[in-house]
Amino acid sequence: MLLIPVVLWAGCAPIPVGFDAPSETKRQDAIVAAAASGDRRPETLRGLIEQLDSPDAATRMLAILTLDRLTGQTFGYDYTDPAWKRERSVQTWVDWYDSEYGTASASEADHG
Amino acid sequence: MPEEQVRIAREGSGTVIVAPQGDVDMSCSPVLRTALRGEQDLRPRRLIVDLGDVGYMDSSGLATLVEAMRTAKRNGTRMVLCGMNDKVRAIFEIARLHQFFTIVDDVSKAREG
Amino acid sequence: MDDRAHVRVELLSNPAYLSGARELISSVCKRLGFDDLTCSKVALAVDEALCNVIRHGYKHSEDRPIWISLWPLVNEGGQPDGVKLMIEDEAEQVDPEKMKGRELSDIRPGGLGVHIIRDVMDDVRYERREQVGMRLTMTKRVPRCCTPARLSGGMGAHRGG
Repeated sequence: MLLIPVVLWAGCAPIPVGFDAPSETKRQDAIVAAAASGDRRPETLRGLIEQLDSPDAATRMLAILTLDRLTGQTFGYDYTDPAWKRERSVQTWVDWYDSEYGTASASEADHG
Repeated sequence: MPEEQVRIAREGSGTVIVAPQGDVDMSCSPVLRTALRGEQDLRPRRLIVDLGDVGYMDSSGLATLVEAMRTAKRNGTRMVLCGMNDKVRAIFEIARLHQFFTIVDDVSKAREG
Repeated sequence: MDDRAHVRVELLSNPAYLSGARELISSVCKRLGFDDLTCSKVALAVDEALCNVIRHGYKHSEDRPIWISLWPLVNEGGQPDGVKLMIEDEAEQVDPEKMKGRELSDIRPGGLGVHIIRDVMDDVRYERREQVGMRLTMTKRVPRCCTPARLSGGMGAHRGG
C-alpha cells in the first residue's frame, strides 16, 4: 500500500463519507456516487486518488474511470498493472492534486 | 466464438457496429478484443457494440469493453452498448459498470444516441 | 451424513470447456430452487474461478486437471436452501499465511473475477489442499424471493453450511 497520499494529506479536510468505509462495497458505492453526481470537490478527488491503491481491482477500476470522468485525466494509470507499476502513476496523481489544490503541509503553514 | 462470428458493419456516417455472437468468455473475448481494436484503429465517429446475440459474458468480456471504452474516449469516438439481455446486464451491475457505459435498448437507439 | 459430493466433475484446463461447466452448474442450481438470474450468477462465479485457475494457477496450460464438486444445502427444516461448490486444482500452492494482509490478486491475480466471485457468493474460502494444489470453497443460499425446489428423497444434502 502506498503511504504517500495519506501522509501528505493528513491535515486536509476529511474525505467524504464512504471512501474510508471498511466494506469494499461501500467504498465502491461512494466512488460510483461521485461519478454519478459529478462531485469534483478536492476532498472527493483526494478520496478517489487514494482508491487507486486499493487491493481490489474492481475498486481501482471504478476509481480511475471516475477520475477520468471528473478530470479528463488518467496519467497513464491502469488498474490491471502490478502494484510497483501503479505506484508511479499514483504518485503522478498525488503530484497533480498537490499542484491543483496544495498539500496539507502548505495548508498548515498558511494557517500559521 | 469463431472469428467470423464477430459481425462488423461499417455505415456511411462514420458509425461502425461490432456484434459479437454467442458467449463472450475467456476463450472468446480475445477475438472480440482484436475486432474492437481493429475498428478503433480506423477512428470511427461512433462505435456501437451490439450485444443482442450474446447470451453470456464474463469478466474477460467486461475488461475488453472497458479497454475499448477508454480507447474510444482517447480517440474521441462515441461508444454505445446495446441489446443486452438480463444476464449480461447483471455482470455490468455486479461490477457497477453500467453507470460508466452508454447503454441503450437497441441499435436504432444507439444510432440516435 | 454422507459427505460425498452430489456432483463431481473433472475437466482439463482448456477454456473450451468453460461453457459446459457453466451449463452444468446453472442447470443443477435451477433444480435446487434458484431463479434463472441467480443460476446464471452462480455459473458466472464458477466460470471466474475456473478462469483464475487456468490463467494464474496453470499459466494457460490446457491439459491440467480441475475438479468441480457440488453439494446441495438444506436448512434446519430439511428444505433445500442453497449450494456449496468446490473448485480444486494441482497448481502451485500458495501459503495462506502470506495471504494475510496482502491482496489476493498479488498471489493469484484475478482482477474483476475475484470481485465477481465475492459479490455473487455468500461465502468464499481459499486454502491449500492437503498434498498439492489449491481449493476454493463457495456457498450460495437461495434468495428468499425464490421458491425452494423439492429434492427427491435420499439426496442427503448438507445441513446448514
